[in-house]
Amino acid sequence: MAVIESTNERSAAGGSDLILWLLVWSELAAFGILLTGFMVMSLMEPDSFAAAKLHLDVPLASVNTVVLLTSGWLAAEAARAKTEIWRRRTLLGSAALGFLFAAIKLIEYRGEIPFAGDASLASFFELYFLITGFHLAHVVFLALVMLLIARKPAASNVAIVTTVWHVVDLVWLVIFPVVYLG
Amino acid sequence: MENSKGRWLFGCTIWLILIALVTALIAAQWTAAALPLAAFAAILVLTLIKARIVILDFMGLRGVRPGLAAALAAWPALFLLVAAAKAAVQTFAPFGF
Repeated sequence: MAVIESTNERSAAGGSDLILWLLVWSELAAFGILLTGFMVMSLMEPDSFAAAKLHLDVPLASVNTVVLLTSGWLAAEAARAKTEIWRRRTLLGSAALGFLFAAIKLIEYRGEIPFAGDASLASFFELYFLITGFHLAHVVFLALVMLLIARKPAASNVAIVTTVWHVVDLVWLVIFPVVYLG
Repeated sequence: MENSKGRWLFGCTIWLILIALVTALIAAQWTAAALPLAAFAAILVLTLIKARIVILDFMGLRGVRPGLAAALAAWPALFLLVAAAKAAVQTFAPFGF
């Protein structure tokens, strides 16, 4: 049973959702390539990667997972909201949590950057900053887009931005075990 | 109906946060060493459950477009499976398997 109105139905009001799903799959492909590169390199340099991971802040990354999931909930609420005021409030809340995620990530980076200069850990930290930095750029950009859309939250625009937000959420769920713990 | 949808979504979020906290607690047991294979496997299963909830409930694909939902779920499943295989290889390879 469809408990929640489908993304497809929501965006259908604004025309075809083909572009939305092309965007979703292009994002998943881009992050997929980066994660594949990370896993290949971790097989080639297992000792270096294992040593580098001990310098990552797993508790902060765990907090960020909760922040992003809560933000995803507010985005889902925004997409199914019937009133403009509720749609605006949930979008603003979701964007605020996106910025909180970015702030926590920057604090995390501050503790990790000193180790990035170590030549024996360079491969790990290059890929780590590339993957998490690319993800962080998506979070900040989409949070800004949500702020812009919140001014006049048309249902079709909200459906698009929240669907991509969930993809960014999904990507983080995979980044956490693969990059931090694997 | 609107309220029941909202409650369902809120319930999903509570589950997601609980699963994320359990994941964090498991990871926190090994802060100065690599996770054992069993703990890592448990975390991967929990991650798969989280991804499924995000796809079906947050993206609103539960009972709608099952092919698309399955394809989206296959993306995290693929990477988590590879991560599990890599961890298994790294665990057992030193013993000659």
